[in-house]
Order: sequence, then C-alpha cells, then structure tokens
Amino acid sequence: MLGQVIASGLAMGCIYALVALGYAYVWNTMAIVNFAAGEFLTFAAYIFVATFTMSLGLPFWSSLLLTAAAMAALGALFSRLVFARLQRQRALVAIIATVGFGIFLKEMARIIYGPEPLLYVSPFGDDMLDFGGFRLSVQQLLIMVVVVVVMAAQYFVLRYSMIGKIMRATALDRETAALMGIPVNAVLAGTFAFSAVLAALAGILLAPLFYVTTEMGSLVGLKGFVAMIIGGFGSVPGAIVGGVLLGVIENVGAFAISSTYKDAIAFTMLLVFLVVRPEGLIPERSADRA
Amino acid sequence: MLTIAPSEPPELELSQVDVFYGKAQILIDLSIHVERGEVAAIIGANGAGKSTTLNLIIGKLKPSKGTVTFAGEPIAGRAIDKVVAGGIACVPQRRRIFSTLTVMENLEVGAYVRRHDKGGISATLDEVFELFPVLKRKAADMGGVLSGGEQQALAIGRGLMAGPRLLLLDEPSMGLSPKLTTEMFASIRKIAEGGRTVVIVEQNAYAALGVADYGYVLEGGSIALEGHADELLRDDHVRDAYLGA
Ligand SMILES: Nc1ncnc2c1ncn2[C@@H]1O[C@H](COP(=O)(O)OP(=O)(O)OP(=O)(O)O)[C@@H](O)[C@H]1O
Ligand SMILES: [Mg+2]
Repeated sequence: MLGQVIASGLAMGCIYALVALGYAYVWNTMAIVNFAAGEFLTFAAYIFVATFTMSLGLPFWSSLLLTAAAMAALGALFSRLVFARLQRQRALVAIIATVGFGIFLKEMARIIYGPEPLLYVSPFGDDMLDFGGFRLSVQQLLIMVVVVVVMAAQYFVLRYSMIGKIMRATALDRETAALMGIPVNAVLAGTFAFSAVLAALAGILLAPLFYVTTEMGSLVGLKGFVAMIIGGFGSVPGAIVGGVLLGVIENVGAFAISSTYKDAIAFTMLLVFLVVRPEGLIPERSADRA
Repeated sequence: MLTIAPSEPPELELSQVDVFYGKAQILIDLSIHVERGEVAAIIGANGAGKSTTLNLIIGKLKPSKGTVTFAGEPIAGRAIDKVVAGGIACVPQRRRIFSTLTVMENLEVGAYVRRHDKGGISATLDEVFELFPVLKRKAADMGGVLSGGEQQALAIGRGLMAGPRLLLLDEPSMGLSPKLTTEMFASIRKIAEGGRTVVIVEQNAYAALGVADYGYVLEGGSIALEGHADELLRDDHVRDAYLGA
C-alpha cells in the first residue's frame, strides 16, 4: 500500500516539478514570478481535451504537440505584449499583470468550454504495471517518463546549446547580453513560452487523473511555487528536487495522518522550510545573479 | 598606420551630435573622426560623457541632432544587434563578464552575431588565445573567478569574437595595476596592428595616449581639445588636468 502511495506521490511530484521549473526559468531571466502558471495549466488541459482530442478527434501525441505549440505562442505573445511594456516600470506591475492574465485565462476557459467538468479517459488505459513489487499505473509511468525526458532535454539545451548559453547570459546581465547583439526580448519571450509549455505538459498529464475544471490548475500552480521555494528560489535542480519531494511527502503524510490534511501538509512544509532553510535545498548560488 | 586612399570614407565619424538623457544634455555638438586602422583615444574625467559616446556609437542611444557614420554609412538609430553584426563591438566599462559562464562560454556568447560563421569564429578564437594565452589556460573556468586583469582580457576577447572591424573599449585600465595596465595597452596596440580600428575611452590619459595615434579631450560633453596623441601628451592643459604633472 505504501508503495502505491509513494508512486502516486512521485507522479504528482513530477507535475509540481514541471510547474516549479517554469517558475525558476521565468524568475531567472525576468526576475518576476508568473502567477498565471496554474491557469496556463488549466487552459492547456482544456484545449488538449476539449478542442484537440474531443472536437478534432486527434490522437494523443498530435494533440499534445499542438497544445504545447498553442501554449508556447500564447506565452510568447503575453510576455512580448505585456511584459515588454510593463517590466520597464516595475517588477511588481508585471507580477500583478500575471495574476490578471491568470484570471483572464480561467474565465476564457469557462466562456469557451462551459462550466461543466470534463472527463478525459487516458488512451493508454489504466493498467497497473509491476516493477518488482513496486506498482505504477500506466499514466503514472507516462508522467515520470515525460518529466525525465523534459528535465534531461532542458539540462542539455541550457548547458551546451547556443540558445542555452544566451539564455544564461541574458539571465545574468541583460544589458551586456544586448551589447553582444543578443535579441534579449526574444530570449525573454522564448523563456516565457518554455514555461508555458511546461505548464501545458503538466495540464495534459494531469487531465486523466482529475476532472478538467477551471480550478484544476490553481492549487497545482501554488504547489509548484511551494516546490520552487523548497528547492531554492530560482534554482533549476532545486525546482526538480523540491517538486518531487513535495509530491511524495504530502502523499505519504496524507496516508499516515488523513487525506483531509494533504494540502495543509504541503503548506506546512513551506512554512517549515521558510523557517529552517529559507534558501532552499539547492540554493542558486548568489553569484548566479549578477 | 595604414595608408589611406583619399577616397575612402572615415571608419567612424560623429558629426555635431547632441545626446540627451531625458532633459539633461550629455553630449553637446560632439564631432569625432577616426580613420581606418587608427587607434583613437577619448580622454575625460568622471561623468564627462565617455560611456555615453560609446553607447551612442553602438546603438544604445540615439542622437537628437547630428550624424554617426561607420565606413561611410549612417548608423545612428540602428538596433544594437544590427550594429554589432555590421562590424562594431563594444567592451563595456567594468568588464561585465558573465560570471557563471565559463571563459569559453563567454567567448562563444560574444560571437553570437556570427554564430553560423564557424570558420571565422575559430580563426578569431586562435587570435584571442594568442593575444591572451591565459584565456586558453583557463577556458573551462567560470568567468567570475578570474582576476581583474584576466577579466579585462576576457572582456576584450569576447568583444573580438564578434569579428569587429571597429572595437570600442570603455576604460580598459579600470582597477588594473600600472604594470597590468601597460601590458593591457600593449595588447590593445597589437589588436590595432592586426588591422582593426580601435577607439579607447579612458580616464588614464597617459596609458591611452601612449598607444593612440590621435586623441580627444572630452569635457562636459564636448570636445575641449584634439590632436595627435604625442602632441596631447605634451600639451600644458592635458598635463595639468589629466597627467598630474
Ligand atoms: N542612464 C542615465 N540617465 C541619466 N543620466 C545619465 C545616465 N547615464 C549617465 N548619465 C549622466 O550622463 C553623464 C555622462 O555619463 P557617462 O557615463 O557618459 O560618463 P563617463 O565619462 O563615462 O564617466 P565615468 O568615467 O564615470 O564612466 C553623467 O553626468 C551621468 O550622470
Ligand atoms: Mg563611463
């Protein structure tokens, strides 16, 4: 039984890690928190389930790619139009703009797709797979595989590609990056688009586990934020570790105490970390932010 | 110095430019003329407008009056990436090394505007490593752990990686010991001898005029005095105000 609790905690933790990674990327390059992340997740789940899968009848992977592309475009457009203007004023204004955009997305989902929750049945079935006594559902396995692939891909891109290098340079010192001829605004828009894709993946992977509702992303968005703080604000490895840890601990805690306390456990973890280790598990070295 | 055919346009020309930050006028009717292959020094005290002049050339600022031409083409108002891709690189004041990128990565990022020109990049990399061997030795180290002199070398190397015809240097002597300053300016002279045009902006008039062909004295946003570098080094006003003689 505990094995299953850990398995579902791991899967949920992977989802938090995706969202947390999006926060970390945006924080590193723009020094803001995107509080619309949860609603990006919601909106992505809707267009994936209602538009691409149900209305257009597209297969899973095509729907996934189209959803990711649509959310990337939305993220890039939002950052380009809104941030490019607002950020010059004050980070706080831009952060509030993300909150506003989140509300806008949630309401758009309600207007376009209606108030009824949507049920999405995974095309991969709900078989349980046995890994030497450790049992995982197909969906849980899919979540873990997708997240591991994404994490590895982002690591290699960030570390070794020209795009990754100019992203890191832009994050460190935007003005000097611009002086090298780096298209700083495009880099920022691209980063935001990537964070939107991460949220979209989280929404798509969560859809078969929950009903798709306009609220589905709100709590996940917040917990992704908690995960980033636990891991270390802005730290990429921290976001991953923080997410997985949060997922497992809240699930095991809920199992040991009572599932009523699941969310309370997550936010208690946040408080404990803020008091005991405010810099997070894997703090971003202060040298990383010039 | 190269011999210049009379028909060739000046490599860089600022003609009667005014630049404002908001309401404050920073550059006043400024004119500068730099021939191809020349080293020009612009010396001036704190706040004289030296960095502003370089920011204008690289495209960070627009003049409200006057023209900026590069190899005969007007460039004022062009976006920075176009200016850099067009052959001008600026090495910023205080070096501004990307601290958590390695030395090699700093150089690669400097070559961003010609990332598809692999051959050009590797040729320039050889040139940079020959000029500053320490960068080759420390290629895998983080930029932030280098010493001040090494960081200045890296900042110049990063600028060169864009493959510029015209290199702008903003106070390369800042924070360096007199000995390191001498070495750094010898390297800068070599860069010019390799066929590039160099504009140095400096408070250290002695060092800058020592390697320059021609010099300008910038005071309160306008040119107070100009002349051949060796003439300026002997000029009474320059000696009193900038050489502490
Ligand atoms: N972003 C800005 N906004 C408003 N005023 C500015 C700005 N940057 C510089 N200035 C002003 O413009 C003037 C010239 O500045 P500039 O940086 O060009 O001087 P400088 O000669 O490079 O000085 P230093 O040797 O200290 O680097 C100064 O009075 C400065 O206060
Ligand atoms: Mg300056």
